[in-house]
Amino acid sequence: MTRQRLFLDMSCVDAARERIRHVYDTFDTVCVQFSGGKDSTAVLYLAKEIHEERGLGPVKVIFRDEEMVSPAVVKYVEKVRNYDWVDMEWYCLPYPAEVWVLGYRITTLLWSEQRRKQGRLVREIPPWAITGKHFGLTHDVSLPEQTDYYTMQGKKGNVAFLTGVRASESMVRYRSIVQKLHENYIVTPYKLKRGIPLKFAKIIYDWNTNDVFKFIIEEHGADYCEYYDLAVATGSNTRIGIPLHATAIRRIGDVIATEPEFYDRLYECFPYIDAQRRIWPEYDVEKVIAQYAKNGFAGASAFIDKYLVGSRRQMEARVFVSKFRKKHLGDPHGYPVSWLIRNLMLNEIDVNSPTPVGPKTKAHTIRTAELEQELYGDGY
Amino acid sequence: MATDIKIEYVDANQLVVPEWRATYVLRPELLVISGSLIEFGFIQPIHVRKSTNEIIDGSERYLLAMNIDEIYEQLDGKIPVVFHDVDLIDAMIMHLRLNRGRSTVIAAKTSEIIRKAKRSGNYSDRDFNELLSMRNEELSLMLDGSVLKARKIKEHNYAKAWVPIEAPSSMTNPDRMVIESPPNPDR
Repeated sequence: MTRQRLFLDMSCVDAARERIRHVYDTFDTVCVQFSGGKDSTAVLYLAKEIHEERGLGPVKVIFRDEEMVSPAVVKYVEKVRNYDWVDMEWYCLPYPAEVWVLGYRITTLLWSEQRRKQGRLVREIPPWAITGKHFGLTHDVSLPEQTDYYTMQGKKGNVAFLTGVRASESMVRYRSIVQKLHENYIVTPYKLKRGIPLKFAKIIYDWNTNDVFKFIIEEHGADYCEYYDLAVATGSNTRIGIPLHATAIRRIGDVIATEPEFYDRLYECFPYIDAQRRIWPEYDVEKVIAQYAKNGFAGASAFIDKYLVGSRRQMEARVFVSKFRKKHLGDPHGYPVSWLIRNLMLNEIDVNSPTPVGPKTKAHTIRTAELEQELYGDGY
Repeated sequence: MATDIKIEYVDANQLVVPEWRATYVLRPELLVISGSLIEFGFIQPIHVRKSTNEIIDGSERYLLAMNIDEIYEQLDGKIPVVFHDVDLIDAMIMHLRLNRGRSTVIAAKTSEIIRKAKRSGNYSDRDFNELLSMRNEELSLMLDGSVLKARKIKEHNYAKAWVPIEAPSSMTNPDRMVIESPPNPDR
């Protein structure tokens, strides 16, 4: 299922305006899923345009506060919350987040009651937040359903959450956008139960970063989160999500460069992250991967026992290994064990299915060489 | 137990840079330190293990003094030293403690200082380069580190919209296979 892009004779901003009109025409309730980042800010202002055009009143906004949020982002979201044209629901819900330190994956519960009692919440829950208690749940355990299930409660009819997902951010996001050919930007949320009438609408999927900033600054003269200026001044990453997961923590230096007090607070709550800051630049990931990969699937099992903390996470990893093993048996070079260990260590492991090694990787080269040898013999 | 600091001026040739030194100062930082040493000299003593004359803290400053005539001549061959009567292990631990406890320079605060210094008219771009090893690009960010300027938003034209379509069947021919990659690699 190879896809191509067909360019249209219109700008991405005009196309997004058409898409958002279609979403408002099609769904009973439309909310902006806001993170405080630049992309969801652009979506927010697209929604503002249509609300003004159609006299729809304040824009409904959902903010999922993930506790380990940068102070600059919190400040900006609070500012947006107070705009008179915004009607924001601010959620602080207990669901798991991963803290990744030198390959070790440690799961922590956001807004955990236990950490609150120990004084180890990164921030206090804002008094205006909607918490698990509003749904009759405690903050001692994770939500039994997907988070979107809770944030869409009380919304009438068919619901669409407008998101700021863009194809250019990652291969996974690109694939999520080109999967469908009709209404490609309206998709069902991952893992949400069927029958729940919620869709995500990725209306700015074809924008690039400069399109986003140009739209916010020039078309609306609006503010954006000041983190982006801090990031420019320090050459830091422009992503604003949780800074401790497997990908983000590898650039923990960005947090120190932009908001060192925030790093200190994270360190107070999760002291073990400091090992990542100090040792990561010299840490030999390849050596660790090779060490476990040489023992095949027994090595994968040993890796899970040592590096994945928590029985739930270990169970998820073993399911992933089991799926990988089936693929490995069919195509050992496309799915080498070293690739499995690399995934267990560095990548998301709760995706549906393991993917084969990509082109230009070592395993891909080995596979190509073996195929050539098979076809043409040693004389090739 | 804290005691009065006793600074002694010691013949530079007697001091030794230990092989166990765990610090490394990058060249741009060395340039800043050397500039500071030339202008101000040693404003802090270096720390030395008494029994062996091994430098516990201050190796980089010491090496600069020994290698740059301008600094060495000012010192008249003498370096301010505080001796510590410690064994090898304690010396090494002290070395780590002193270096792991250093501060981080915060970009936003640095930017404020640079802007004030520039506005004062007392410092030119050349001064920033010479004193802080801050080249034009970095200086420009420090003076106006906004997304608007850094990304040249004013000159930017909106990208064209696109929709996904099924690739033609000829794409499945391995000779003409195209590997998909996300557009606009602005991650």
